[in-house]
Amino acid sequence: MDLMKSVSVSASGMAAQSTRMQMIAENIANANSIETPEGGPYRRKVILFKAALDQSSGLHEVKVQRISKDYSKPLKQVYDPTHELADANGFVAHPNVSTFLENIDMREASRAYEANMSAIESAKEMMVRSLDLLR
Amino acid sequence: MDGINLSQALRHRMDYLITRQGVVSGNVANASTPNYLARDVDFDSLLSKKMAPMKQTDAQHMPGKAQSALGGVTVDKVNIRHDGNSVKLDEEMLKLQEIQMNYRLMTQLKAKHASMQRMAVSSNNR
Repeated sequence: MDLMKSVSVSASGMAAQSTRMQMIAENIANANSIETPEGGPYRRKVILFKAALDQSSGLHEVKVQRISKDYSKPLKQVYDPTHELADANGFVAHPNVSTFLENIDMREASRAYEANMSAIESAKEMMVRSLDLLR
Repeated sequence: MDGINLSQALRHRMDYLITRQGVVSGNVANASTPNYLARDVDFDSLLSKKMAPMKQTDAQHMPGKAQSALGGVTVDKVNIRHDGNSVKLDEEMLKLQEIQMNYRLMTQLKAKHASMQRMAVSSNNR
């Protein structure tokens, strides 16, 4: 068990949070994309983390299990009969992205990233202290 | 003889602090993992494991490890959020600070102890 292990655990946390940040950026960028190559409007993406046990140290690293599309939130139906993608009733389906929600998620991701950063700082400080014993 | 015990005690404590640092780092990394429960290690259980290694009752048994990597791990099953996670980032940050302070104390004690030993040895020559 050494401090490098705990640094690598924190690094796995940072990698996971930055993947999450990328996904949030994608969601916000596509908040108004009503057409996608697969057809239909853009659907919000959600990320699922998974704790992965590192057998040699007994510590839990974090991994991204999957990024999936969010079907639990309905698409926003906007009444716009003149739009070329409007359906028979004159509604256009908009992405189920809420920029407000994405903003909150983004805050959480960046706070978690910072927290991992300070865990690394503290491990580093401990290593420096151990090295100082040699002086 | 006391001196030897002191440095051994310091080593145990530092080992524990390093282990705990890793466990807390794991909690921080898994702050948003669903169904992850916050863990912690306590000093007493880790120490008692180190003091009394598992006995080998048969020659064909695998030898018990005197030092288990993670001794007494406690799991927080009380403050579980709706996503099944029980990590509280502020608490973990506090723990990190505490570990760092304690580690600093241990290294300073060790340095002081070494300088006292040096003094004891060198005063012979004067």
